Amino acid sequence: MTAEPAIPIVVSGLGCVSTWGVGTESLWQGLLSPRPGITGLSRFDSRGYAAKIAGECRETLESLRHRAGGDGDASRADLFALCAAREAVAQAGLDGRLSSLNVGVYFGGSTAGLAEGEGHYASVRSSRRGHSSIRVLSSHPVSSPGEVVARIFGATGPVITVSSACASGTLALGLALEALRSGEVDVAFAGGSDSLTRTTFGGFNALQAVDTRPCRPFRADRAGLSLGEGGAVLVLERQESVEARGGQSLARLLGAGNAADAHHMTAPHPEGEGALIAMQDCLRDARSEAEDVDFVNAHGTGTLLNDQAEFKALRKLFPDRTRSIPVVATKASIGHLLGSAGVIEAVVTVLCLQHQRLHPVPRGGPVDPEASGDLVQERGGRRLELRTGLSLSLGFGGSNAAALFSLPSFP
Amino acid sequence: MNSNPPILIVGLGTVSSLGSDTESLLKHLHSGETPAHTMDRSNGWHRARGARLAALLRGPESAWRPSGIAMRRFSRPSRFAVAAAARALPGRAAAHDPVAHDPDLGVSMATMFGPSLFTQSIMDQTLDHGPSAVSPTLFTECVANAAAAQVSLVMRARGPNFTLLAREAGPACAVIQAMDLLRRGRATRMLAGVAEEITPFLHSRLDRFGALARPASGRAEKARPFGRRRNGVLAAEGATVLLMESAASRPSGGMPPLAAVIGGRMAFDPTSTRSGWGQGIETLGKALTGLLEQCHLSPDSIDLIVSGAGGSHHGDLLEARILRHVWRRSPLPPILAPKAMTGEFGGAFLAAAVLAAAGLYRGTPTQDFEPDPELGLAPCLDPPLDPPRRTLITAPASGGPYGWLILERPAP
Repeated sequence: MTAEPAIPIVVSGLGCVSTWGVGTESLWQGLLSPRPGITGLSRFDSRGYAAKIAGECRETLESLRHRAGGDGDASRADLFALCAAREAVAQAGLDGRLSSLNVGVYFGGSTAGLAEGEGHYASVRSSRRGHSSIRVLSSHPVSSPGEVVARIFGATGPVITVSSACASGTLALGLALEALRSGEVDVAFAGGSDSLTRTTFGGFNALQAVDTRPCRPFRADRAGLSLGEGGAVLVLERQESVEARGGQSLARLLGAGNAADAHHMTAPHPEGEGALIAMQDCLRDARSEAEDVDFVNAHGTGTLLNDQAEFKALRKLFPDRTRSIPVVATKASIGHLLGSAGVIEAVVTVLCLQHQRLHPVPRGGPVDPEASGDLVQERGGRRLELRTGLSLSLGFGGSNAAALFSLPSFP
Repeated sequence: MNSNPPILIVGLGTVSSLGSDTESLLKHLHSGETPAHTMDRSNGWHRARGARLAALLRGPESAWRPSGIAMRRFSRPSRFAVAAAARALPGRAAAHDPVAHDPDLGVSMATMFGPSLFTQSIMDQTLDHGPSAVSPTLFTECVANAAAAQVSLVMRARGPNFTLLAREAGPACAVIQAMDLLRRGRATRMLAGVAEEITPFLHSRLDRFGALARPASGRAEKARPFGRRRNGVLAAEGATVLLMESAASRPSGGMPPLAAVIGGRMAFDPTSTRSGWGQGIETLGKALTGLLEQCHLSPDSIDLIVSGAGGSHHGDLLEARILRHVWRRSPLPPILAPKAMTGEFGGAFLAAAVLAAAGLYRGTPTQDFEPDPELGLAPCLDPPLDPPRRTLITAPASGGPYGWLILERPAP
């Protein structure tokens, strides 16, 4: 921690691709509507998988290519990232202005071009010749989406991808925040992008961690997660830079924190210890107190253990508001985007602040009394006076990360 | 000088084909031997005249596995990382009498490919027997952060935990992140490094991209950084983990430091192609100059450059041009290019670079090096070098990322 006052860092642009298509407006409208975002899987043959549903983006590759630009070797995840970055840059008013600025790209991800790599491997294995479409592998690295964005927008600062499982995106937000505070970069793209793959579908099936019905975070009858895909980018800048060019601040990123459980490779710490340390670290970094937090965008996967551990951590952080702290769980609407989940949930957290409204967590059923605060269930969401929102991400390997956003005017 | 408190490297663990301790690594580095192995090509995935060799960890695992640590379900990168971490920070990895969790001990690891073999095995299970045959054990260990997670589990490290990807510049990125977390007081100790495995499929794909050195015109298959006949890198597997501490929070009587990290920077060359090299000499040169200025150093105050040039034709050319650009007004210091021995990816380069900065690795006598006149520089061929005061470590990467570290040898 530094003693000097924190340099205000703001969000100046948002962009995303989700099960509801390209754009933050589509995402927001989808979150508010009763229309289901988690539906039948069509990307690949679902036979043999317990779950046959996903938060799948229905945009065709051609449509994504048309919107995104980029080269012919771009994977679906690359295109999600490019679409999201273009939207965020346009909203920030930075089109054509980036070449004179030091831009850093901080992405979180898990699968990137793995889906394309799976196809390549299957074709190589069946032909035993080994020269099938090698170019498709150029988008295979998990770092590819961030690097594609960096090349298109001419970034010359750090271009780093965090791959710490499902906490990756929120960890990337923390890196971007620090890079701006230290003056290392003028503009930071914090993003993430992951597409549906057979490997992750098969893996979560094997772990018996998926629900055959759309996931129901914090409900008593929850039975697992639902996978999703998409990408998101937040353009972050120092507030003074945005004001100097007459731009608009959408929200402030007050702080970020993280910690490891050091408990188990897949199961969260049963008491949510790592998650609690991450949130406390975030609040310290933000120079805020727990009572400053107006709502939580929970990790909320819908698995028995995750929701329980997460709620135990929240109960410790908010001992006086255990039942009253408003909680949303975006994964119930769009599925679990794995490494990029934290970034799209950060976008949703900012949208909630902007609209002064919390989106509903769909699907009825009793809320688990052992695993939830005040889960937002009202049809159409809940209008509230919101100043801050805490977004939490937990991942395999005991990775935990949190980020605190506020209105630009806070405090 | 830099106003930031020095960050000290006080421990180093390494596991590679060059050995599982620093003495063995130094012996190989000083002799110029590269224990490379013939890669399994029986599946027919390689090119007929492609690369055949890789620096692999062969032989019994007991030769490098730390005693008392159960690693039965670990992927190979996790095994390498835990073995290296246990050497970097002895005493925390005992299975029988576990130490308390440490919220101030963090982990920052790099990888480029993650646990490739487990991921491939899941694909095989899916293709051969359908999705229901996928092993949950393989899946939990096929995530990119498996190595960092297992290090945190074994070392009971509850501090920040990052797995960072910046291609071949990943190890430098992991060290810079550790330095940053220590400077901000977010951790008091960090385990930082890299772990990677090389599988036949990965090796064959790298070869088909033209990334690997191959036999040509009667010459042996060998990485030749900055050499006229260079035609690719030697793929290597293994892990290196550094134990880093802030001098400000260092307990008295701790381990003597190998070196201090006084600065680091990452940059990107947007003129790069997806898997190739760009032309960003000015951009990257400006970033390196900026790092020197940030550390209040001029180019002529660097005594040694440990270059990450690995033998790539275009990559080494870009590296040479950047170095000549930054040192255009002063003579270049001696350059070491240890990837001729350590290979690429496996982490032994990071260990070699730190040992060079510590004055322990002082160059490799080379008889048959053919300089490339186009580069205008060559690695030192006539060791031993004087122990340096300040060392620049470079980390070029295909696809755009670039990293640099500046290390200082503590006064005797």
